Amino acid sequence: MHGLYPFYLAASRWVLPALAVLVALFWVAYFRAARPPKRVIARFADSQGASYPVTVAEGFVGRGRRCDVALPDETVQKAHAVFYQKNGGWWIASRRGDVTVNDVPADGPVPLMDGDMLTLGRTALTFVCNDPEQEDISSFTPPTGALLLVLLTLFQAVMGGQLCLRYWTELPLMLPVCFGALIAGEWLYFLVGRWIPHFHMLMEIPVLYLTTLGLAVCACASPENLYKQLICALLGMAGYIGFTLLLRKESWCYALRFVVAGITLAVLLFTALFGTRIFGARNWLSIAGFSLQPSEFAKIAFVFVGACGLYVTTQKRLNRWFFLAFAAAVMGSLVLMVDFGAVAIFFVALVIILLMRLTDVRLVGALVAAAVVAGVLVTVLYPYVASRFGAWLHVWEVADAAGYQQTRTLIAAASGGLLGVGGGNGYLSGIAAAETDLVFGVVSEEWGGLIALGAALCFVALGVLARRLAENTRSAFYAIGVCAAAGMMLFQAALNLFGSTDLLPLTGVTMMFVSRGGTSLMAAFWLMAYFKAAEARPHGLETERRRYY
Amino acid sequence: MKHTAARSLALRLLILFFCLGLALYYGQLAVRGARFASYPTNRHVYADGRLVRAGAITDRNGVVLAHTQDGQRLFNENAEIRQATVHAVGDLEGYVSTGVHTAFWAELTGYDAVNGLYSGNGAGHNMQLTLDADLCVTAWRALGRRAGTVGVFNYNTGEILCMVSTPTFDPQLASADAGSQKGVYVNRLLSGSYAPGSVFKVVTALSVLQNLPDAQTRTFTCQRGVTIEDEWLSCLGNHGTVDLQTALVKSCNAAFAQFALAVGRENLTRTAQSVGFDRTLTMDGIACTQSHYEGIGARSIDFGWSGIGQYNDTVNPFQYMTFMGAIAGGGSCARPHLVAGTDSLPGKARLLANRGRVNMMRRDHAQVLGDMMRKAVTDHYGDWQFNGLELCAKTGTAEIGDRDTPHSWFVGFCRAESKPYAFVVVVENAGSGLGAASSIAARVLQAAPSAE
Ligand SMILES: [Zn+2]
Repeated sequence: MHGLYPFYLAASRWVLPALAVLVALFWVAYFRAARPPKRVIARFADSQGASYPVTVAEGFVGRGRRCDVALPDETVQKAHAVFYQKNGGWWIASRRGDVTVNDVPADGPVPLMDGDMLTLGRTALTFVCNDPEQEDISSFTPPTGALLLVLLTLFQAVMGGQLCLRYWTELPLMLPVCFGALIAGEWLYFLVGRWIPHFHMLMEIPVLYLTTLGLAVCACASPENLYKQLICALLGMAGYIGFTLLLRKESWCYALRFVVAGITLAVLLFTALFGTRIFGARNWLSIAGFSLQPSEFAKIAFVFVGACGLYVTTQKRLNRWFFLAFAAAVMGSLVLMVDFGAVAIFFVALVIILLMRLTDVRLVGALVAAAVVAGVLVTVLYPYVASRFGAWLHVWEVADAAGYQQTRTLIAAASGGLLGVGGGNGYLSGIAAAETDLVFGVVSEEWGGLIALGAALCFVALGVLARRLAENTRSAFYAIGVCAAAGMMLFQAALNLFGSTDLLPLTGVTMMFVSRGGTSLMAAFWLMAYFKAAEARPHGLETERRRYY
Repeated sequence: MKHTAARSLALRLLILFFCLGLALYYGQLAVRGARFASYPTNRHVYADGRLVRAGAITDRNGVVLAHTQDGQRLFNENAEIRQATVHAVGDLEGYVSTGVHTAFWAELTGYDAVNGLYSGNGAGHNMQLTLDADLCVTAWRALGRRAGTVGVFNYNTGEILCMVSTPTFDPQLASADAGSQKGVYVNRLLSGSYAPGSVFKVVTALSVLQNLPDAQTRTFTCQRGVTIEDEWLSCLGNHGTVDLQTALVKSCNAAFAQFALAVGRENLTRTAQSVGFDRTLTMDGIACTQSHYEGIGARSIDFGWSGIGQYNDTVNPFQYMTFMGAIAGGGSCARPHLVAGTDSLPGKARLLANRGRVNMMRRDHAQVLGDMMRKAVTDHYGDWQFNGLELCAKTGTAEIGDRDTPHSWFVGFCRAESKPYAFVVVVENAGSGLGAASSIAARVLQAAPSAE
């Protein structure tokens, strides 16, 4: 411990939450300012001279308020037909109502040419795609978020500084290296990224905030794993960039989906049968000295297959059953691993994906009902799950037995107050699984309730951002991908946060980016590729070859 | 993609529930945070389940009752002081829930919702009590091996000088080991609840003054008791024809039962409530057990008994001590409190919020009641025991079933300017109030320091 530490701590415990609050406020401001502009890439014109601009490469035409082309005609169905761009051309397919193209009834997808005449209900439309009323959007330059990154860097530096002084003798080199590398990595990313048109850091800021907290917790709770945590974070960033590039190629993804599904199932089954059991769940695989959790990577594949499987709005029957079968197999192998927290997370993603694509509410309802039955069955068949549920909502009565982890988390969170007692000065990090399952309590105790609240709000921010991206992205593939990824993260954060604080039963899942664990950190970064891919391709620019990344 | 995005309803709901959960969690932390943090496994302030990080507690003269030294919590080195003050000061393991260690846990340890238990804010905050440790020892010695309580407070300032409850234990040793004695962790002054016996007649007398125009001239007849609706209510003496004054001095059951009937159920209940019955009184924010009076709905004979402190009446000693203070103070008195001051800012706010006066009756009624209680001492109990105190008092002998010896009560106040003290003494199973309880009161009041 350095002699200046007490003074530095006294000041920095106020400065850090203040910086976190500033980051949050500026993030909200940037979020509002960075609403992407609409760009007209085609249009429909009716006989009265009304014009309906097309700003997406895949969308609905119909009477519904939410349709991308909303027609004021009672004889048109709410979601009458689907139009989309594919292989450089435009297509239309009827969905709920009849469509004719140049007086020929469209049966299945029909190519649309410039000047084609369409009828939907009583409305006659002309399709125009060669001379769209192009709006000039080059003058619109959304803020890149440089100020946000500066604030975040300050936050990281102050936090790292506090830890450096705290562990002046124990970790003289490790802490400056780790915080320095993280800061260097994020600035390199930013400086390269800002050459890309419309680049901004909205999604990256929450992720980097969480990663910083993860490093800080790891430094205090298990410094021997700090380098590993850092390397996994950097590998995660690299993988995230690569995966984003792949996701850009929608057709490649479509082609790869069976391969991805096959590999995922094979690895999961292998793990379920031959994996290592840690804390009750058999979900670890050891290969050549490295141990990893395949179920973490399965989350990425699950979203991939789910979004791909429903690639083009019209092709649905085969894809639906393929995806449902895949989902069932994935969740089956997770049950074999006795990893019920993961099953719940996958189930939430499944519901999000199905609801976004299918209007078949009955199927989703049936699935939810089945899930409830399955949940009851699990508590009957697996006594250790039942015992965890047994402590739920009255953990203080069994504070030293089944409620041990929850009560210790609450004690720690209360002891931290809003400002925290300082990194490394808490006691929760000493108990088992604290830096994974109870990490919210560790952050609350050492860094304070405000910074912990910031971590929780990061997941909310990602959820809100996902909805914005889904509205503006070019196709259903990206919309579904980003919403499913965000849903998984948010639900997993909820299980972690509310499980350890006794608002939900404790399921023992990690908090993405913050909990210690190489696999889950890498996988979390990879999931973010769904955000970047949805964001990097705004409003139907498929024919335009921009150099992103 | 508005159409598809609109169907991300599940994600929207998830965001909503997540935010609700966050609000619930932080709300719970704000409300119950101090209770979470005071769980005895919290190593920020506890070691081996005993509180270690907390400020010092001193009595009114600066005598250290508890303080932390070298990571150890030490009580006063005098075992008598430790035992006499343990219920006020509290133990380290939270057994004495109304003790300062537990009730002022946050102020002592320096916990607050913003800073938590951040150690840079020092080793907690100090606290000075209004207690006089020596007076507590005197009271504790006077109580001896009997269970009971002694409370004395200055009705002008509200300072509680003496607060002793027996049986007691030594907080320097493990609290759990004391558990074999019945009710050892209970502060009988704040949390006790006893049948009042004749001390309740002061309430009935007040109600008579408030409700009968001829209160001071009306007489009733006692013939070793009285018949109420064919049932016999016995009296300890044959008092003949008595007025209110004589009835109180001689503690005549028959007269008071008839006075109660003359006043009526509603009026007596209203008077009881106005002096603190069926209401939660607090001392520095610490809730006391309620006194209970139940006259409405009782049969006439039961209502008669209720007017002389039997039937279902129960009294909390702290409430009665406050009532005595109000009579002494001319109808109102400063609210009794235990903590004189603290250097904790939230603590200061809490003390401020719990100061003020309690108003219980009209000044002239208080004067008449006081005069009658004074006469009870001079004419009946014997003023020689209470030299120089100008004592006004009432005894009580609370029957608690046929087999057990009754509880002994002595309540009242001094009119002497140098000793503006109201007091309550309860000794369990000690027989007549005039005896056990009154002699304890005499010893304690004589030993009480003169007020400045
Ligand atoms: Zn009589």
